[in-house]
Amino acid sequence: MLTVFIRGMILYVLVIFSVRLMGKRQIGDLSPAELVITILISNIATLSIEDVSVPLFTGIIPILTLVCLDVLVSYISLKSRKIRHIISGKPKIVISNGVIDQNQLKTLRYTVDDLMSSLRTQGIFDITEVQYAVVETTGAISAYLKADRLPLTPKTLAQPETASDPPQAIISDGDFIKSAESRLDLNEQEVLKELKRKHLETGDVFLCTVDSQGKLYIIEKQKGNKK
Amino acid sequence: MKRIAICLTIIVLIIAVGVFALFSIDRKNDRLYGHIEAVLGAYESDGDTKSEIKSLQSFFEEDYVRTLGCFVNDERLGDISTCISRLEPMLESDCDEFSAECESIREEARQIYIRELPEFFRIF
Repeated sequence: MLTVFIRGMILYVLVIFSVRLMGKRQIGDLSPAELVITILISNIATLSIEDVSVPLFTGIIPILTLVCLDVLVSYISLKSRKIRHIISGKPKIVISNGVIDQNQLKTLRYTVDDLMSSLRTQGIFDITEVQYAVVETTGAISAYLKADRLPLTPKTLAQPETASDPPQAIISDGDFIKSAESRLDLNEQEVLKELKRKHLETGDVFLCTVDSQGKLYIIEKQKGNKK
Repeated sequence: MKRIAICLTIIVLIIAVGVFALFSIDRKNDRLYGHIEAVLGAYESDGDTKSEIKSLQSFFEEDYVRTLGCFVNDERLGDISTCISRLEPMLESDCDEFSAECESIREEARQIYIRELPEFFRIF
């Protein structure tokens, strides 16, 4: 009995340490890989607490290995967009300009009911109100309402918004996003020309978004973070 | 960056613990083989086999189990313990299988070491 109690205490400390090492994230924000690792850790911890015939090390080592690999992989994904996409996937646009992309839904194995249910959780009961919706890498759906359904703000009161998709990132952390280029009817050369006019290179840009009118919004990298 | 340093340190520590476990199992096994040799030697030369068995038993319980218990499943150590506890009654009843029982202890210990080796077929 006492052995189980002491093992429980040791693993409690280890699990707290592991969760802290993995970083602050809520269950809903976890990527599929992180969710699987969290479940695996809880399973290994349970087995190690219960089964006293198994040395504690055989529970501690896999938990620490999984946590360390998770942290290392997230660090590598932070540095490389390609690896980030391989590990976490890409957000997929399922509604654009108010039109549902049925092929994309099929690819994601998302039914209309799933889409409707996700929208309902955001307080949207009429799908025709949605201008733009994205299935995030976590599986959650983010929706952007049509201009006439957006909440009234001083800005929209003075100048009513026209129906258009929200601005999209074209450069992220110094990398040009090719998929955004095809969606926006914009080519890399035009963006580079605009950057050159501002004495910038792609590597100097932390985030560059472009709206439906082709207007660029550029956030430069802070000093010391340039590629 | 601090997290990365902690993770890399933990990975290095895990590898170090793994290598240390292999070395300590190998070292303890060598000592166990020595005790088994002593038991078999005394048995074949009609020496004081009983005291050699006692010495093997005390080494197993006080040293071998305490060290290997951190890395090895209890069941395998339990099998060796059962074999050792059978030695004395076998000796008293002049059982033919005494030497075979000593060999099975040696084989069990060898298996413990082999199972810890990270070999390709064992990993997969």
